Amino acid sequence: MKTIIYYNDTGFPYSVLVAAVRSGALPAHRLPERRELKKVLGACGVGGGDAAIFNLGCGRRGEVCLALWTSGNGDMVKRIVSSFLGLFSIEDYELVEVPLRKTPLLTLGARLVRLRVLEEVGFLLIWRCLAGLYPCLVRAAGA
Amino acid sequence: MKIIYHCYGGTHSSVTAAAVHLGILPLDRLPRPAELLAIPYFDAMDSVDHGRINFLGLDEYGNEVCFAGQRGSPGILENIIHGLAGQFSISPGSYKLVNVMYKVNISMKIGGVMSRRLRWVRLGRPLVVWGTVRAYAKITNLVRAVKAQVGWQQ
Repeated sequence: MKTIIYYNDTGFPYSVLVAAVRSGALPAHRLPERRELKKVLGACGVGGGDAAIFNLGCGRRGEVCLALWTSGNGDMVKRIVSSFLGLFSIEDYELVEVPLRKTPLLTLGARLVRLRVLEEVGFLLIWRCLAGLYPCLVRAAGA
Repeated sequence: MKIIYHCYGGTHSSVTAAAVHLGILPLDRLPRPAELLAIPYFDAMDSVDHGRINFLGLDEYGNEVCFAGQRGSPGILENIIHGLAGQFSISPGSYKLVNVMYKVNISMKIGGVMSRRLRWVRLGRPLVVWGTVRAYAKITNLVRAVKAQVGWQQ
């Protein structure tokens, strides 16, 4: 069973959203509702990215969708993943970089989410910002 | 088991620890500068190599001894490796991560930056070699502990 590992190094979990689109946790044919987005991001967090790996489920062809994100060091992440799996002769995977940049409003939204009293405002801001980027996320998912 | 020594650049302390582990460098005395410079990959890796896990050799127990650079972010390396191991059903007992970064002294840091980042090799390399000799006892103690643990497990 093939595994797809989505990653990005912008400090925002775009890779989680892309993996969720691929696995069907988020819709590919329409914009997600706020509660759908909150459910996915709430499960993985919207922190700066410590390279923890999240399993977002399986895609239509049974492929496992994983996601990780960091703040910078994307080239190093790529080498760690490929060389570690290479050590164990694991080849049935695909490493996909999500080529999106973080916007100031998304950064603000992610910060607000971390404040309990402004969490809802943060998710609303993220949801509004992602509306414009969503087609790019769907394309990156290759679903 | 795969034993992965890691440090900032993956070219000084982790390479030295891996070489000590494999017996390329002595455990019972300080190495000569020429011995350090003769280790493969010592003061030779660049930022484009950070994250790559390099194999150096097999130890007496048959373990694969490797090293890697993590740009001062051991958490990234550890989270990715532990996460991948969990997702790909790799047994936690089949690899071991050893952080050598905190055994590094100021001479190694300054010499390393001069040699690797600024490309002042003729100035930086002697300094990093001198620093490595000064930190050698700490590095060998770490390797002894790792070998004792690995030998005990096997």
